Amino acid sequence: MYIAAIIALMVGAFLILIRALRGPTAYDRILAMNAMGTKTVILVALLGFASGRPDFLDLAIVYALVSFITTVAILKYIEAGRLD
Amino acid sequence: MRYLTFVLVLCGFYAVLSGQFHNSFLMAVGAGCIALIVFLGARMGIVDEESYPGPGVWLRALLYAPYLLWQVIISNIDVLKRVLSPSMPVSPRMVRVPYSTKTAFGTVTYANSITLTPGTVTVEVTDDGLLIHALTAEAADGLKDGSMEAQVKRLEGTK
Amino acid sequence: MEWTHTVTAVFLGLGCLFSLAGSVGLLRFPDFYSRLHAAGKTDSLAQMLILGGLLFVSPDWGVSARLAIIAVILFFTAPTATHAITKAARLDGLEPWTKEDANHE
Repeated sequence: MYIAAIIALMVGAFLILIRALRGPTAYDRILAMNAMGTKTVILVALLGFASGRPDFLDLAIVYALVSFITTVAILKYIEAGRLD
Repeated sequence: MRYLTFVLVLCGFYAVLSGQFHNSFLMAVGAGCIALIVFLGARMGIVDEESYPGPGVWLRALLYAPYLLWQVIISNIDVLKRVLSPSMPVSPRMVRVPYSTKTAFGTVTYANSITLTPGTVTVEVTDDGLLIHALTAEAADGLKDGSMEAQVKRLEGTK
Repeated sequence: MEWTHTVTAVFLGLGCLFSLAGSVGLLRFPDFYSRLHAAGKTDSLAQMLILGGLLFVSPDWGVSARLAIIAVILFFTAPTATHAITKAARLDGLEPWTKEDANHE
């Protein structure tokens, strides 16, 4: 069950990767990577349950926060041209 | 009062994530982290009215949540239908919708809720309205009847 | 098979369906602004369904609390990130695609 869900998410992630590669604008790529971040969080949580080690959820929390900050940081850099 | 709530929330967060109270070293490090975060929060000036709107808002948010959840489900089914139909029935357009929410909290909630409802995404918030990107003309019209705005204003408590 | 596992399977299945729909939409929609609809909306429901489904099989309350924290974080950050991307694109002067553009080509 978990494995099936993981495979479905990986297929989705692969489709997103195609969009990230094709572009055509930088924002399409950022959007794709943002969606990828959400998928990764769910994937890590599912992996934890599949391997019987729910401790993985801590990693998922950290990844959720970091991926949001990454997206916002990239966008702030594009908007303002600097990060401070 | 706000600082007390802040510290209590952080203590709860620590207790949930660590789940143990017997290792005194880890307890001390946790207390140190809480103190550091409160200090940084105070220095950044983020412990204010905006981050702790008071207990009334939390209660009203509980009433607002089921409505928002239902909107999310409808909008997902809407996206699913559009994605699966081979002809791609979209005709995107930009519309400007006025808003009458009073507080920043209400406006942000309204804008984010619009993003989650069927066929519409908030692009920009300015003084004279929200710039909405709608997938179809019907989706744009659906916003203008103001049912969602009424819900948000009830959450805000200005109605 | 216990009933909790059945409930989890249904939730995971629905979540994966919406997640895949979002990915396909990201590929198929004609322009950046329409892709936002596919990506921004399906993510929030898909994560709620999958994490909510896992709640039924979580072994203790600590795991349940972590799942709830992840769901809440993602629920608040996903629309915010979507809006941030849109605003940056708008400031950069990206024009939305309309039906008329397609007819001209």
